[in-house]
Amino acid sequence: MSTPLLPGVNLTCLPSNAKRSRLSLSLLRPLSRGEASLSAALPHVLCRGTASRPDMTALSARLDELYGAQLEPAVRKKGEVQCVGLLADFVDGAFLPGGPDQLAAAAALLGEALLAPAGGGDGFVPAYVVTERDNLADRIAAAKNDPRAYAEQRLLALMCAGEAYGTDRLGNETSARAVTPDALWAHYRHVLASSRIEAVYVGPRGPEAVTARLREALSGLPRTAPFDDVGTAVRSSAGAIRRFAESMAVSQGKLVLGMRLGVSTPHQDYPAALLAAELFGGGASSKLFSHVRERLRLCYYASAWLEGHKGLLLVSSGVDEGNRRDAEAEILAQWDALGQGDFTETELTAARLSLTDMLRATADRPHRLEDYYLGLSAAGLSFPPDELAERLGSVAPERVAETARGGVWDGVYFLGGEREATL
Amino acid sequence: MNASYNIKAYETLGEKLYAARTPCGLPVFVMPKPGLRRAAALLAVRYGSADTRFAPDGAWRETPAGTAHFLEHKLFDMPDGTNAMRAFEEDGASVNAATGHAVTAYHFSAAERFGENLERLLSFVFTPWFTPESVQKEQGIIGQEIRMMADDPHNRVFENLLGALYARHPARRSIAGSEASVAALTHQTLYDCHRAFYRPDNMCLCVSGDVSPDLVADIAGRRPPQPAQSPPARDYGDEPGDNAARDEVSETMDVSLPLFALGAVCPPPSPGPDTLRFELLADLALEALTGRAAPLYARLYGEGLINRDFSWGCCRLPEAAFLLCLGESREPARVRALLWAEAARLAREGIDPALFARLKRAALGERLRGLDDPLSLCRAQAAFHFADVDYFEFAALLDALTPDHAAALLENILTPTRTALSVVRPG
Repeated sequence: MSTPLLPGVNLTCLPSNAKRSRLSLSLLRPLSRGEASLSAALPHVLCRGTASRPDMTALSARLDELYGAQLEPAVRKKGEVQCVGLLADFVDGAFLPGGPDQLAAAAALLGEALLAPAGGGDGFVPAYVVTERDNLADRIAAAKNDPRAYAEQRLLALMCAGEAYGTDRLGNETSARAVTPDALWAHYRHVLASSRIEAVYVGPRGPEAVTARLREALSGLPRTAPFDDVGTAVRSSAGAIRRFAESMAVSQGKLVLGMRLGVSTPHQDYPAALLAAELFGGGASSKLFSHVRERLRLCYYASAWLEGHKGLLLVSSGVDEGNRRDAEAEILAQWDALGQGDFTETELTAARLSLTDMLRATADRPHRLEDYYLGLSAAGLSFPPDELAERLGSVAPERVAETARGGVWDGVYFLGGEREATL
Repeated sequence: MNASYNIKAYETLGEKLYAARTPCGLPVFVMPKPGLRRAAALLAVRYGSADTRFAPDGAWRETPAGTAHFLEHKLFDMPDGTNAMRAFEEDGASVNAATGHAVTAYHFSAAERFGENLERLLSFVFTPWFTPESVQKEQGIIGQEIRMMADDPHNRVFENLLGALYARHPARRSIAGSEASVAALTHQTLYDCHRAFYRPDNMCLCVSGDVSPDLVADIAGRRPPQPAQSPPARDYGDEPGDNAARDEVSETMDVSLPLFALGAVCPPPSPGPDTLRFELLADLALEALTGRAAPLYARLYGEGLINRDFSWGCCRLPEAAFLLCLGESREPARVRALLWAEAARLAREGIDPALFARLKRAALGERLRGLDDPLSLCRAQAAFHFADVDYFEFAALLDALTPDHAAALLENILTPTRTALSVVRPG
């Protein structure tokens, strides 16, 4: 399923019968404050134009010819790995009149976008860099337009301030504003040669066809081994709970909690941690939904999920300022109850079925499957979602409780109408 | 049971549509997807937030804004005190519901036990159970939801646009209503609305996935026949004229950049293929005007007037429709002026036939990709069934569109008097 394509370039080929095919190229970078914004700006500039299609109009015309294929910049954070690259989404020729080789055309376009940007070969078009730099800074500033997601992002930044993970996938506004055409070009030449690259294809074509087309498309790729190491440091300890509060003019407060669970994807207890998070705050049968929202009416929403790359458990909720303390106390109490094994066989089965269903359905969705495998690649892993679904089936209830007991709450963040005098 | 299905094969799309009507009068559509692991079912009601004034028994009555959405929330309550959502989850299915201006829809997706979940879907939607206590409890929960939406600038910019486009249409009011309007709701209102609208002939069931059409027919066919009734008359405000009610509306919020929504009032398409044709044509016309391959996009993007979040499309409401552009911009009024100018230019000079041919090709590809997702497909089929056309007809309708059709749409619709601009500005 996963094979070396070129030095430091790995290809994962996944069969799919969907009409939509997906092909991605991602440079894996160690997430760092110093280069996050440069890396984030890069694919946006690459998508502005290529040597043979030097502007958006020409590039879009080509994509339209390919039956509305999409070429999109992608900046993803998988733990402490920043995955920077390009995504192509297209209808396979098998579903189109005349059966054109859409894979070859998409691979060629991806290759050209990555290796031969517009600008003549010795630099980017400066105007493209300036626009994309400004857009990047605007996008970072726009995070607060979605208060719920903003609160979650702020908790992670504050709680993990001393770790690589505390850096946002786009960097910050200051580092974004500092991007210049020269600095970006130098960064581009460096990361192109020294980064591990993951290629993922999801579609009906076999590995031979994909390998041949990608080898051709990437034939000009410079490679300088050894490639930059990537990985994620997982912490399982914390001191006393740190509390953070910030103000924003919102009518409903946002309360976010973060825990060091210490169990990440490679860990043997990863399936147990997934089950614990689902039981705690997955759906309508979860502890948070049935107790904090329904029974005590302390919040409008409350959900929890596992950040498997970093081994964190996160809780996000919308609460009235007046209910903030009670909601937090109840959330902590519900987690403690979970650690004491206070859940029924029915609840555990529901959690298991919900996760299994979701994992099995990953195969139906090329974009989900691509993202799933890219996430594993960032941790040096590769196993199908069905295998993880099977592992979920054999987790004993005691193991779930024990895994829950191993977690330590680290940060609590509140975003409310007025900054509180005491934190 | 297959005999009761009317089967249409769409060879060029590689899709089939099984259509039937159960003894109780419920239209059923199955769109098979062999090999897909998760199947979706959607039970839709032609009743949305805009249906606040209607005549169930000949006499007009008015219900509070937000009733349809409130009813959607409460319908999950079962007479035995349980919540239907929980039962789906215990079977591993994901279930949800959504209320729009015209339609309320309940749906689930499941990789296992499809039949059991389908029975459950039909059972809870047709089993109203409302009490004064449960209504009172929900008023608090919905009040929270209304407040959460009030904090969402994207929601605000869109709702404000509707208020600027229309003087009387009930879509002017938020789908969830206001805290005051939902406070006026009683459990009896919910029963009355359920009886008026949740009738099989005012609904449809759409299923897509690796599911046997016979199984769907068997389960849906178990519901007892119901006497035919004519649907209640509805009043959507009889909007005066074709112009936008206001030119511009603005609100201040804690946002980083101004958000804008620009709408242009269209005459609503007639029921039947015209509805689907309208949507395809509106998309193509807007692509030619301001899509990524259009000259205007390069200018707007290059000058920093829009970013990659800029999007466009059309919206259909009961007895109303409008074209829509959404985005972030430091100068929304300038974007509006450039859109008007480009629409006038295209009307005058025509749309480049080569560009239009490419856009049609791209539209076909995009619609084809959309067929992969069973839930989206169910949504599309339900929405167009209520407009009396099958969604899979899109390929033939798309093929017949010309640059002149698109240029005429822009000339007639994207004009100053029909346009309203809504902006949410940083405080």
